Amino acid sequence: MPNIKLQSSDNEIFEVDIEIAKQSGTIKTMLEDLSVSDEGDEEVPLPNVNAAILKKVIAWCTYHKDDPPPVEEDEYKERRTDDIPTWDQEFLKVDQGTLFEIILAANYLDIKGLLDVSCKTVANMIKGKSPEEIRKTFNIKCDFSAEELERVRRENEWCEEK
Amino acid sequence: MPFVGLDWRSPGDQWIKTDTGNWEQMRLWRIKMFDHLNESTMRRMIRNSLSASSDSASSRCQAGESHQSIRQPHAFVKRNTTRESLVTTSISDVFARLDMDGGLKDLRRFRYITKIVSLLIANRLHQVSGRAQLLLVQLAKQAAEQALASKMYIGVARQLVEGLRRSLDEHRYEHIGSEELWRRHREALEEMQQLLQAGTDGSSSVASAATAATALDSELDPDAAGASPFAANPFASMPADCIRQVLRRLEDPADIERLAGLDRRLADLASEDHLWKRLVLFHFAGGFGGGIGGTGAAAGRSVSAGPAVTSVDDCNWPSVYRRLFRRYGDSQQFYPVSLHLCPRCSCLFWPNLGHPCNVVSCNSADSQQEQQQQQQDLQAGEATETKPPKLISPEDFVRFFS
Repeated sequence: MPNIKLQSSDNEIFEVDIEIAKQSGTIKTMLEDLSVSDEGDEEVPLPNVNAAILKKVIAWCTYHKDDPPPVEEDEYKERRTDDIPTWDQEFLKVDQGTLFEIILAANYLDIKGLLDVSCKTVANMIKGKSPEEIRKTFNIKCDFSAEELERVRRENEWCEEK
Repeated sequence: MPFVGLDWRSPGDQWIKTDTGNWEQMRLWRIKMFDHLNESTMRRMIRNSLSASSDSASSRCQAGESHQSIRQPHAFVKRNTTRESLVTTSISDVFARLDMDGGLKDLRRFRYITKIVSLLIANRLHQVSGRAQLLLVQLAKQAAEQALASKMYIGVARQLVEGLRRSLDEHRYEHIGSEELWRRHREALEEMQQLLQAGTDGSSSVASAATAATALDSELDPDAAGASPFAANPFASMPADCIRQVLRRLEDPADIERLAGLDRRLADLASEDHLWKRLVLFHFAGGFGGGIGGTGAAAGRSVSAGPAVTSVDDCNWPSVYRRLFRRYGDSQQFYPVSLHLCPRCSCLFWPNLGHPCNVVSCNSADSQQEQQQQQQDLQAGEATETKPPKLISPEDFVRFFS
């Protein structure tokens, strides 16, 4: 099986099976459109992903290499929003910074499955928490002025009505 | 007077005293021990496969095998209940057979199980046996611990604990079991409340410590803080695309609103019509979960609401979604996994862990085999209905015990 070399932002090089790398829509398109030769020794630069995150992403792709290809978004059958497979639950038990960087990497590399489970994990962290708790969890600072806060509150009230 | 069980003809159960000082039926205890063993093995396998990424292929196989060696939790339901079978199927029995406490550790089953527990606590706690009462309280406690450990579903756990408090207050003078038992429930409740309180305080102190640390960092080296986008505001500073992806995966409108009240950018993103339209179509258009019988009526109505509304371009998507959610939000489509009832052998099982019985068509295995099976059945003169397994809502499940 031919391999491909991926270069992280901090210039570390990972050699990955080409089929595994093709789970990334970005890499797949690149390989197909540019018709890069399989035996090419050139590294594919991924300037938005650092080595630690790339390693995680490759681990995920390796585990999921035999999964059926993701369906188109319109006919996306998965309705249950917190359905995360056990392996992925363990995989995503990382600190918040890493989790967000995984989301960014999955978005940049266009890996639907990984983006899905990582976003679900963040969504699960938000569900059922009070605004103050969310603020503390994600360290979000309030950038509203007093009037704006009042306006948002009123808007929400209006939405609450039938 | 010696205690004579209702089912007086059976030799009775063997009981064993557990570490916590409670009594447990020997046969249920065996099932639980087995489950715990399996579970810890599986966790270790998964952890190994995560750490050893080099030969992940082989560890994957191992993980797969361990999945299969696990006992498939299931329980048979007797539809024509006789007096005897009614007596021998207790809540604690079914809960142990369905591996409810193990299921709490599974994110996908968590909400379904907590819903069942909260329903039972709200309506039945004072009517069930002392053993079942202890079990329910224990499950509530496990749910709270699990929510704290995973930092997910804290709201659900809080509701559960609040429901328990209400039930304990309400039925203070009219419950089965001794006063001592009720007092112990109350102690457990207080413990849970403290746990939840401490847990949320603890997490906030950690967060504030992190804030202090990042503040210190940025003071020391303003360039570094600028270089890493996650230094100050990890969630809100993500690209809009990524935040949209997260918002899309929330389902309770209240969650989205709360998020919108935090930050200007989040407010903008949460008010996008596109998001709400997507939520409506995602959750409420089309047949729910592949047209499973139980939801038929509810699905039918909301489906008709879906396309009718899509034709109107300028409809108020946020309000449509909120109304649909309020009406149907509690139905089973929001549970990632719910128990199924096999129409053939009337057996309750978790669909993600598979069907325990070996009737081919129950397992919906090879279509060829299925057809053969059907033909055989036809020849045998049985009226075969290859109905799909029926989805059991938490409400239905609770009704089995009435």
